[in-house]
This record gives sequence, structure tokens and C-alpha cells, in this order.
Amino acid sequence: MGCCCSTEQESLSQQDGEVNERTRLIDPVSNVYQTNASSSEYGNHYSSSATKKSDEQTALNRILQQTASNIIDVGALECHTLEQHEYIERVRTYNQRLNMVPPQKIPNRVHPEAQLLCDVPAVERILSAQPILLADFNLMISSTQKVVAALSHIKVDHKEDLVVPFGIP
Amino acid sequence: MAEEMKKYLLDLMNSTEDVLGIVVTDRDGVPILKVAADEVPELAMRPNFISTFSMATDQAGKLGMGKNHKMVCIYGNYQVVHFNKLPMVVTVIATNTANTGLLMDMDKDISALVSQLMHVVDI
Repeated sequence: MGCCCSTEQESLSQQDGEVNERTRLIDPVSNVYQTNASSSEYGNHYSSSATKKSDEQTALNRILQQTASNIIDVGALECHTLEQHEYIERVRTYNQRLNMVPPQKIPNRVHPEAQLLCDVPAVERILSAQPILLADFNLMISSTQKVVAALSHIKVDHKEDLVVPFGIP
Repeated sequence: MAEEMKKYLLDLMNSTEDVLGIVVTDRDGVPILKVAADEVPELAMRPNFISTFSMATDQAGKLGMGKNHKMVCIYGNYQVVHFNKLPMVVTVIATNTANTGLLMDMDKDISALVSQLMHVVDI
């Protein structure tokens, strides 16, 4: 079709085996990489050249592996199911290691009281709690007022000089 | 220490409404620490259920939006929040009426515990 996004041309060119900028680096069908170059290919070269080639090959393999690991291929995922004995063995190992964990203090959980606005779970439980007694409330109010009054009446009655010179002749 | 950790997890579970269980596992779903209420669905605690998250989070990390940190699955009767703490996975199971935001907010409390469990699991 004549659509600008059409992939018809792309598929045609790929069918012909033509290599262009849209050709995939990794064949999604075969998904098998030639990781080992044949040794005869390097047989007639000097050792330094062979080392260089081998380095290039390693680098290429690394790029290929990296690319392969970045591809999302759900179909190729292996579903690793644990055998029963392996499961039991691992549970036992974890329990042993758990008991060997050195005693450390687990940091206290962040208390929501420290925040001004926060989510409160089970709000009806808090709201339906018994209110405090009126006498206690009055006691708190009167005590607070007394404390405020006492604080406001604090005075410094200085009898000596406020600035004392030390060691000045 | 194991008892203390379990108690911490139990407190965390009880302090959040409608949470039925919290499981700390390795990436294959083998439990390291587990607390659960009686009503917890047994299927949600199974290794082959939890291990699917490890695969899913690995694949989701390839989408080009950064590492996947958590996944929330809401079902008809329950909701399950998975936290990616690889090599560990933390799974919180709650009823479908639980406050999902509160479940996700458990992350920082769970992280404090998980950091102490790191060397329990083979890396």
C-alpha cells in the first residue's frame, strides 16, 4: 500500500536478503549466535593478530549477549520449577542463616503521629474510642494556663555586671 | 533475631488494615520469612505464584522506563503487591477492599527489614 508507514517494502527487501539500516542484527527466528569462530580461520595469522581477532570476537559476543538479554522474549523464558527436595533444602538453609543473623536493631517504623497530614488506617476505631474525662480535660487546660503564666513571668534579676572583662589590663 | 524479624513483620501486617499476609522470599518463591492470617489464600503464598513476579519484573525492566520496583495486582477477591528487592521478593496479600496506597507505602518499612536479610540469600 502507499502508506508512509507501510512495512511492505521493508519485508520485501528483507526477503531478498538485502542488508540495510532496518535489517535486524539478530535473527529473531533462529535466535542462535555463532559464538565460536572456527580455529582454522585464524590458523595462518600471527599470534598478535589472532589475539586481536579473539578480543574483537569476545567484544562482539558480549554485545550480542547484551542485546539478547535486552530483548523481551516471553516465549523463550524458561519456567524454572523447583524440585520438592530442592525447595525443602533451601528452606532449611534459609532458616539456619536466619538464626545466624547477628542481632541488630531494626529501625523503628515511621510513626504517623510525627506527620501533620497522613493516612490513618482504621479511622473508625480511633473516632469511636472513648473520649477523655471532662475533669482530666479541665485539669490539662488549667495546668497549661498556669505553665504559660509562669513562663511569661520569668524575669532575670541581675545583681552584677552583665559583661565581665577577663584578663584585660 | 529471626523471631524479632517475624514480630516486626507481624506488627506491620496488623497495623495495616485488611492485610492478610506478608511473605519475604527468594526469586524462586522459596520463603525466608512469612506471616499470615488464617484467611490468607493459600494459592498466593505458593512459590510458583510468587516466582512469576521475578520473571515479570525482569522483563518489565527492559521497557526503557527504568527498573521495575513494584507491581500491584488486583483480583476479584484479593489484591497482591509485589516489591522488587532482588535477590528477594516481598509479597503483600490483602483483601480487595484494602487501601492500595497504604499497601504500597509499606515499602520503606519493609526495606528496613530486607536490608538485614541480604546475606541470608545467595547472590
